[in-house]
Amino acid sequence: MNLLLVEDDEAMAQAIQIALERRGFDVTRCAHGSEALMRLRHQPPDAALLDLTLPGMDGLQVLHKARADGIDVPIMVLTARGAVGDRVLGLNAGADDYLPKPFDLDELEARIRAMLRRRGGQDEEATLTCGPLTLERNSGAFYLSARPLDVTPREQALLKALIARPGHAVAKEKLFRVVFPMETDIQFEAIEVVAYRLRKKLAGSGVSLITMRGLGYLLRSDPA
Amino acid sequence: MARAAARPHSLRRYLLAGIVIPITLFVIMDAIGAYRRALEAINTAYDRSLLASARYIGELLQTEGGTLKVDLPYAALEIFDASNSSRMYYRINGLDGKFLSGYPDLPDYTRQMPARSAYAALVDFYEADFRGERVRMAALYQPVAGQNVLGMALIQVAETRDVREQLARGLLIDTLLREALLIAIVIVVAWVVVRRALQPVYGLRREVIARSEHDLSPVATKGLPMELQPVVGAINELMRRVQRMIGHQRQFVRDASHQLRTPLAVLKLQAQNGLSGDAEAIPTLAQMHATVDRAIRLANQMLALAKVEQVHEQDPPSTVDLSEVAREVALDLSPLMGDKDLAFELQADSPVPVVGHEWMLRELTRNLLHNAIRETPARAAVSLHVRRDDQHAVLCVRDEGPGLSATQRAHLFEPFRTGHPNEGSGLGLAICREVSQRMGGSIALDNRYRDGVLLGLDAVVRLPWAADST
Repeated sequence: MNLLLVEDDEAMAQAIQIALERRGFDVTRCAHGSEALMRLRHQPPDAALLDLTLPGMDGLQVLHKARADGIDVPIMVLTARGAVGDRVLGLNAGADDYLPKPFDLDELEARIRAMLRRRGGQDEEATLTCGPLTLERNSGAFYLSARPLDVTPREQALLKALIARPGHAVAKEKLFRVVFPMETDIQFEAIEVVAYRLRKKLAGSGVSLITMRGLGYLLRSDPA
Repeated sequence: MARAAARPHSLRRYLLAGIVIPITLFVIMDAIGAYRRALEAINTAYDRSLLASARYIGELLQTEGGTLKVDLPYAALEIFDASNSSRMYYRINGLDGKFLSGYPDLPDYTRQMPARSAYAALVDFYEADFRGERVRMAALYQPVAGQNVLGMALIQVAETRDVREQLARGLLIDTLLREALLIAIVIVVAWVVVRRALQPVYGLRREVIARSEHDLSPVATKGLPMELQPVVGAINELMRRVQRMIGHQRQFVRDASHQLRTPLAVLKLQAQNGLSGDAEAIPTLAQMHATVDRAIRLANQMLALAKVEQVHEQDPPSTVDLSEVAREVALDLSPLMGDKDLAFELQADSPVPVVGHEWMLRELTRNLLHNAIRETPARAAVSLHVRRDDQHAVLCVRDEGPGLSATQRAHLFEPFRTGHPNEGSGLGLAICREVSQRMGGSIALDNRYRDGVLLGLDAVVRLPWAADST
């Protein structure tokens, strides 16, 4: 996976490069706007990370010109400016994503992969995990400490939605749509019944289903 | 309004116009009136002398054997003629109404005698054309009584208008000259007075312009006229407020630099320890990571506060559902609550519209919920309520933490007064208060007791309702 990193701060560029190469990307660095535009034109990478404040030609200009030239390399804007206005400006100028500095390296990797997934659709992980719980994406089967977990289709739908963002609550309304698709005559509270049964099945396993009243549910691996 | 402001009206021009124009109009009208009255007086005087001439001629009429005779000595006409350059003509019709004497080509009297007259005689004055000139004519019916004779003779006396016009013209020029002088005096006096009256305004302007931007001391009011005192008072009040604000900002910058220097100092020590081998690399790096996170939080909070303070008109507020904001913030912070196993409850069932910036409301809610999560011990409860009461949209965050001490209370919203020097930025509540005030609302933090036992803290934000848009 070929990445073009356009960043004029040497230390920042070096740190990002080391981290991304460790995570399996090939990183090419470049510190000038005009040079970045040339590379995007002549040796288009799989994706580009673009800082906004650059010497010569600034990041937004690079973005504008690249998109005007029909270059459709996925581009993520990285900037310390972080204001809402800049974010909108960046996305309007044709950026695929926007990550304000300072950021977490894991976050950066996840966002790059998500961006590539959206564009290409190939780089999808085969399994999702939360503590001892694993989801095999292809089959949709759940495993608890390598043993198949027996779940009903509704429990499976609920669990799938929750394991996509472990540790993060998912709104009840969203879960309801996933668990009871196309059903209109079901009480909103029915989701609680499904969650209750699922919680019992997971009890003592090292992963818990937590209720946030009025908000939704959250799947979390128990602290050791 | 911007157009009006671009072309301010001049006080001096306004005053001058307000004084000079009405006075000039009045003087002109007065001059016209005076001229008319004078003209009338002249006419009356000359008409009287015309009548006297006609009467004189009438006196000379004699009846002789039943017929009318007139014996007009040449001298009689000279009386009229000699005084000035105007020429006089006369004509006498006999009792039969036929021409008797004088100038036969003088137009015969054909008018109706006026019913009322200012004179004790049957006389009429009018204007007519004679020999290519405009003349003033007096027509007098003179009763004649003698042997076998009784009737009226008509005596017409005409005089060219030259003298009257000359007189009137002289009078007009005289009047105009006098009035022009008067107007000139009024203009000069008004100009001088207005100029002198406005002198303090120019003085004030010079003083304000000459000031450096660092000099915010009050403008002196001594010697200024009463009308300018409130203006200067208002300016001074504004300067006081600006000075106070600058003071706050300087204080903030000082505090902020200090606050930023602290994590940097810590970081430097941690790095040095790691490099020298005094501390193990991995734990040191973990500590440094935590220190950096602290600095990042601080910088983000400072940016957020600056952003709230710098919102201007170009970023207009919109109608935002406070319930939706609360829901999203709760979802965002759910990992923190999950980590502490907090019993969380959100009560935000119906939409509660308020007018504001969504990101501001998010900052407000996030800061309050974040504080509540931090203060509440593991497995205790935190709740977030959004509702509408009679006058406000109400956001209430309840925690089961230790509440506020009296000392914390005293400096609650001051920047960098954190209760957690190693965690908080000390800006969260300052941001919350700034947002609440910006939106025309209020914020209150109060300990919650039951039966004298401290249960936790309630943070309550009240914001004005948005006009119902649903």
